[in-house]
Amino acid sequence: MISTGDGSSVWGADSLWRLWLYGDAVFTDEDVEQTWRFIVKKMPHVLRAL
Amino acid sequence: MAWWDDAAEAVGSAVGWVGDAAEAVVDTATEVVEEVTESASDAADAGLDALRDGAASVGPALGAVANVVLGVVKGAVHAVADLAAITFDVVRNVGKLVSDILHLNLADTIADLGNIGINILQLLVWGVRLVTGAYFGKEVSDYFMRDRALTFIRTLIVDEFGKKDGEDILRKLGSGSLHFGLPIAATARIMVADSNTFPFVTLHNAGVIDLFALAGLLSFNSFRIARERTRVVRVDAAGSNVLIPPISRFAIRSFLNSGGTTMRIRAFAMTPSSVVLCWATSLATISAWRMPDITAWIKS
Repeated sequence: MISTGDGSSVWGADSLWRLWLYGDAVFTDEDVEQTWRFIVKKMPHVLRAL
Repeated sequence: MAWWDDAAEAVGSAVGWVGDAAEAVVDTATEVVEEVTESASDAADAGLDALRDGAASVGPALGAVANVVLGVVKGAVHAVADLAAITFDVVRNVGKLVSDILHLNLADTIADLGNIGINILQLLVWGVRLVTGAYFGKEVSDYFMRDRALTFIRTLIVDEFGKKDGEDILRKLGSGSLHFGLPIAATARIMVADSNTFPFVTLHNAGVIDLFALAGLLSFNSFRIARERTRVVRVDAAGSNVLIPPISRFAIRSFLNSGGTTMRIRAFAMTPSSVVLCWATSLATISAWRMPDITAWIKS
């Protein structure tokens, strides 16, 4: 459902399957990985300051 | 003032408070019941998640079985919770419909009917997702996805910060608990315009804003079905908001005719979209709401 930055379409079969399964926009595995990769690599000071 | 203004004020003032009372009763009742059902659903989620994590800690095979079995149970819980949420929304929208009819607020009445139509569509989607098993599949899928995500994050953090510091960071993020994630501190604020600092009368007379519409009352100045949710209240001498009796067309008319001297009022942006409108229209020339000085609007 959510574009993952690599140009994935919201109209693809995977997205329609997710629409049926979740009934709403949700984060994908790749979204989670990209987000945490960004936090760890680009904002390590935030994690160190916890 | 036109004759229809007189008629609308007479009828609206007489029955408007009945509509406000009905809407307040419905809102309060549904919010209380909703709070109870949401708490019950959250407690059920926490219990099921704890059971699943316990099973997963024994071994991957038992974890996989728990993902499926407990995922199905969690799906059933969420299906009931969603049905309850839609039902409460219908009740709330019907309450608002009654209130807007009694306020003779045609634009909002049409919007309320549209919202009830959306509720019916939501019920249809809910039925399809329940019958086709989506509710259960979602929770099973979520459990497997959660496992994959936690494994990925653990590996990433330990690789970056080392075993000792990495484990410390993971513990602070809530690893091993039910609430894993980056803690974010936030403060809730609501945007408000006060007649002491905001030129309601000037902007209303210039046609930039419609104070009657902002107050959710019948207006002959504008007609917007998809109106942003706002609320206008009187302010007493001590600076407190006066919610009862609700502001009427007559009171607003007097306020406007006096140049804003008969009373002090405040207008609140009740939804994020109306706040966004405030920001957006501060830069636009065609607006329903402007902010000459944004700093004067923000109150905690």
